[in-house]
Amino acid sequence: MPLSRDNDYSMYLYTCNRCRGCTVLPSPSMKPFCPAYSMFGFFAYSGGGKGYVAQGILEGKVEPSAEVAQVAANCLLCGACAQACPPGFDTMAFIRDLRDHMGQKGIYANAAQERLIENTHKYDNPWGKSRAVPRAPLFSGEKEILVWLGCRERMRAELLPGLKKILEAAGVSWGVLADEYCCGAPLIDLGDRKGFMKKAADVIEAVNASGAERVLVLCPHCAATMMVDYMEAGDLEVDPVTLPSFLAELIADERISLGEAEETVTFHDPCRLAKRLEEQDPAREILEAAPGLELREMERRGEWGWCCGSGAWAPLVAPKLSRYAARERIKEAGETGADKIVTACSYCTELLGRQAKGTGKVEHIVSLVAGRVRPGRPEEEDGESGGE
Amino acid sequence: MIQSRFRAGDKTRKEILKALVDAVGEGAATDNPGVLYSYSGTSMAFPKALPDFVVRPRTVEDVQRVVKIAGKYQVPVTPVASGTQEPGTYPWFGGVVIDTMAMDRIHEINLEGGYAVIEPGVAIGRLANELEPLGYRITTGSFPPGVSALGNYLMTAVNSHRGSGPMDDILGLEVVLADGTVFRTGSAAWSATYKNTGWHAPTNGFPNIKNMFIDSAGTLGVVTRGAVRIYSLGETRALPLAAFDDFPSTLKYMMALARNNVVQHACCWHWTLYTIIDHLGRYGRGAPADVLVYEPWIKPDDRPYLIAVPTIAGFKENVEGSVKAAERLAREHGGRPFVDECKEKWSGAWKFFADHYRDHKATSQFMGGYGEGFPMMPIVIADPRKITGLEEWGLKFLRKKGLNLGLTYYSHVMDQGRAVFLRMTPFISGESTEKEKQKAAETRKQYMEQAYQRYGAVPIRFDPSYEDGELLAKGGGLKKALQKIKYGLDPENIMNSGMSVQMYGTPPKKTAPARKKATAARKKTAPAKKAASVKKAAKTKKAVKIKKTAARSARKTAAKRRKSTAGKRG
Repeated sequence: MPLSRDNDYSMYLYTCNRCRGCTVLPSPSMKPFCPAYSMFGFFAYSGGGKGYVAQGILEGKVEPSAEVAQVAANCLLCGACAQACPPGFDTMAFIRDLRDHMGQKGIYANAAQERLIENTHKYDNPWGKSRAVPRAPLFSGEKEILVWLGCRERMRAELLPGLKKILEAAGVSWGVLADEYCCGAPLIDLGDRKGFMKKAADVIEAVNASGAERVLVLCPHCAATMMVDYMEAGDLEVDPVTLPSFLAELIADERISLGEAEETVTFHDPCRLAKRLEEQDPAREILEAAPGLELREMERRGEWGWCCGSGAWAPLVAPKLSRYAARERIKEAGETGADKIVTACSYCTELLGRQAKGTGKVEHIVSLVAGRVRPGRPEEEDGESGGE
Repeated sequence: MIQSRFRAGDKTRKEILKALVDAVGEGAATDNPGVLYSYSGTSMAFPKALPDFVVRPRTVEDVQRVVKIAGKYQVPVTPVASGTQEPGTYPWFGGVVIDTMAMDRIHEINLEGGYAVIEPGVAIGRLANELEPLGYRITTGSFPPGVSALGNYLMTAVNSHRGSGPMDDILGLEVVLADGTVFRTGSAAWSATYKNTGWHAPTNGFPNIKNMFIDSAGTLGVVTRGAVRIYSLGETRALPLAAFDDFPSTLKYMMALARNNVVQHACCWHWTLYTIIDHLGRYGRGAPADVLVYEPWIKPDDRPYLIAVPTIAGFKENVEGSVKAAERLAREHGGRPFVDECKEKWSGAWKFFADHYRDHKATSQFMGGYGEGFPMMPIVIADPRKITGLEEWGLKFLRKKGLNLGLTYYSHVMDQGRAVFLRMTPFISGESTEKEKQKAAETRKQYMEQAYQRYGAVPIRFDPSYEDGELLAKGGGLKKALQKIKYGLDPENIMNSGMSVQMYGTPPKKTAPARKKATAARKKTAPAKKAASVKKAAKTKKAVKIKKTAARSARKTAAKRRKSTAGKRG
């Protein structure tokens, strides 16, 4: 719905008590949790504060302008505020609607925001590149699972080599759609709700028509969009599953096992997985199943994890904030003494990797699993085999 | 002198913004309309007031520079910490909001002296967490962890959470006045000369002006630092809750505990309030329906009408004795010990009581209830002899006036029972029209008037529904005294200008008799002045004459000399 007093969140816009609960981890930690508030300090940059901005626009007290759009855009849509807000204000809903409200008037924080939206419409990806041909087998009805690549993977194929290895080891038959559309996440995040609804309808139609029962969604942004935001766009009949959940399932079902290697890692939770989808366990189950791997957790983890800075296209729309968030995360990861940061999102991997200055210390969980994967049940040791 | 909303052209605004940026640094001053609106008020049902600039100073020097700029351009300055609920945080006349939350240093934790020196941006939760491992605590009340400790202690409402002690958590303050003067109160004032002087005493041999800045809502100066009292957590702690079925008995019980120093603090929670807090403790948010269905003076079942919450801490032997005394006093006053029953039936409420009143940990549990409506809180400090009447009348009055969303109250004894805090909390629906909100505001005012007239109460927070200076005028000569202080310290009314006009009224203009007197005085002195003037003129004329004569004589002498010289040459 457009920004309106009729929305479910309307009451919250008017009753935020400025307790600042949305900006910090719960007591006793009270570590900063909202990257935008932590960096800018002005209340408007917090989740509650952006509710005030939305209220001001609804009341006609704040004229939409590029300056106001900058306040709205300097947010990673990581969902920290929604997670921490004591009364549970649906901050993401009104921040997105706030952006949409201004986008409808042609007001954007900067040229990048407008360009990303235009590109998504024109090229079906935010980068404005020609539609790439999937470098993967096409899906047909008899295959076990449909793989949803997402714009990034379609372009760059960063995960596909590792994923192929894993799926092959597990004996999973899979394929992709010949004509995969953008899921619409860039549109709803950047402020084009109407465009998002159209994209969502196209995707729902295409996925439903595929004949698949399950769709493995590689990108957490696509996954959260399909699993949460599509609820108001249509009826997705195919069951989406996230990458960590699927890999954890393959391990639990003993379709794959992981080989031994000594390493110390910390896990960075992608916000859309941990906060939006409340999925922080599957990735840890995978790491626990890796012999020789020691997991050293950061204080801000799981649904209380700090954003890497790549949310809501911030590297392009709010670059300073993006860099700030990434720096903080690298610092916190470093404090664990782990050799490596493992994550489950290509955007997190890229940004944290860049911030870690190309030391190769950031790895996608697909790569980690692919490096250790073995088919099926691990060989049982002598004397422990079944006793028929 | 500022008496209305700040207005300026674009050029001046740009100049001011540039000056502010120079004063506090890039990124710490803004006129972004989105940012401005987020400082326009709170969730209270008051109309919003938009500032023109917001700054985030980090040091006292930054604040000094900002107020000097404000003085130069005649811009109102409204200092804000958390900015939670208080009408004093509304920039009623626009201008500059000073968001002090970036000043967040803990300068000193002095265990021997029993105080911590903090800046306004230090949050209650943070300070509590710093102190806990040291065996110390601060007063946390029922407040969420993210709000300013000092900002809250600058209000009596928070400053009163110790039934057995004085109503004051502040030992001393550092303040910046409208002209940029910075000073410290109490013993810390001497640190300007004697570097070894700390914050240990609120006095220094001169008038104690610290309390002037409490409840002053930033109208007299900007508080940039303060020493707050910290308390021992005690060897052990106890929370011997007691259940009561009426307010008068509960009050007598709390008075007996506080007057005899059995407890550190004692408060009581009305059934609708502890039912809500219990719900929040269990489910995190929302409110149970039964608080809306039943009249607030009728409880729906056998739950206690009030739960009294006494805080006890100290050495094991003291605590055991105090718990026994509290239990006996509860029974003697018609109540019953309620700890086990509360843990069993009201576990969400117990969690909250234990966190806040036994362990002194700030939590966000109470905040979960926000979103259900606008709180409208008429709060008073009342005479203990009359407050039971206010409780009985107040509930019925507020209910009769159609505030049906929820009506509850909370009370605690102050200063060993010399006064009693009573906060009624009706809510206004989020769907309320402006007319309904207006009616609610009028209801609040009527309630307060009756509380003053019939129940010997005084307000604990400023109520902006009164005309300028009207509320203070009820204090008789106090108005004149406070006006002299306010406009003496801040003759241009820079500090929280709009709030100042509302609180103190504008300074009295020169009246007709005063003008006549001044004219008469001028007339009286006129002849003398004339005489002096004539004398001066005469003196001047004489001097001129002398000068002229001397010049003539000099010219004659010179002419004679020239003739004589010419004769010699010829």
